[in-house]
Amino acid sequence: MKCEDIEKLISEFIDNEIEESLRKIMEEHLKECRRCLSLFETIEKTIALSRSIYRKKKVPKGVSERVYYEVRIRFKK
Amino acid sequence: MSEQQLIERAKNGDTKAFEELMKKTQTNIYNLGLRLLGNKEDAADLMQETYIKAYENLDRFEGRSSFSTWLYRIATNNALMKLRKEKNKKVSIDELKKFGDKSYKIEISDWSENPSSYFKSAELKEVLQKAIDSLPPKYKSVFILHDVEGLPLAEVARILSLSIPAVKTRVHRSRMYLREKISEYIKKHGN
Repeated sequence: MKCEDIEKLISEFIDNEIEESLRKIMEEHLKECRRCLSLFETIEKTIALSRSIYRKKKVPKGVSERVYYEVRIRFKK
Repeated sequence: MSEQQLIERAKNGDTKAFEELMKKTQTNIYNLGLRLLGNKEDAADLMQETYIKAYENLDRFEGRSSFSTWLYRIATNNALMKLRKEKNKKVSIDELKKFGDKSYKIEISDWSENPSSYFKSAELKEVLQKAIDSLPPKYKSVFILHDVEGLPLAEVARILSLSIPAVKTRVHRSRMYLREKISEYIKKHGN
């Protein structure tokens, strides 16, 4: 397997969307190739960092109340 | 009471049942709005529009997908309409398509070993946030739904009415583009 094939399939590899036999071939390549391993690790870090900037927030109380009210007045029609 | 029972009651005009459905789902819908649109006001408006539209179309909800997927679909479609009106500069689709083009040689800089404290830098997060915001709406929505919200590829495909291969392509190109933006920042600022 060539590095360019790894580049193409790396996201599917991360998402566990690769069939087992191909997965094993990719794992072997990653053990041997520092460049592709870096690609894999830095994509994983990119995803983790993206998640960390979007921490879950509570819905402000006023917002919930406003939405309930807006829906309720439509129910009454 | 089960979600199905609440939906049936809401369809028959039971306001309390609909409120119960809102309570169960509102945090996800509000956070989806924050993530896609980037500010509290737009997220609150999106949440309101989503539930009003859901209420108005409740009779058409047949339960082929989960109620939550159906709400995500309404919210994402509304958010996409807002995102398409945004004026900030977006990366072109052609630029994103180069990831997957064999003639394009990506430069692999290895920052996987950088200390974790490095990734807490507010400046780096800002760079990444800007890069995510510069993704075209149809890429940003896929990236947020799959990589940030953690929804499976098949569910993202259902929400956006796309094929699974199309979702995979957009996820891959978005990741490669964002990784490159982080690499550029690290190269510029040193390890």
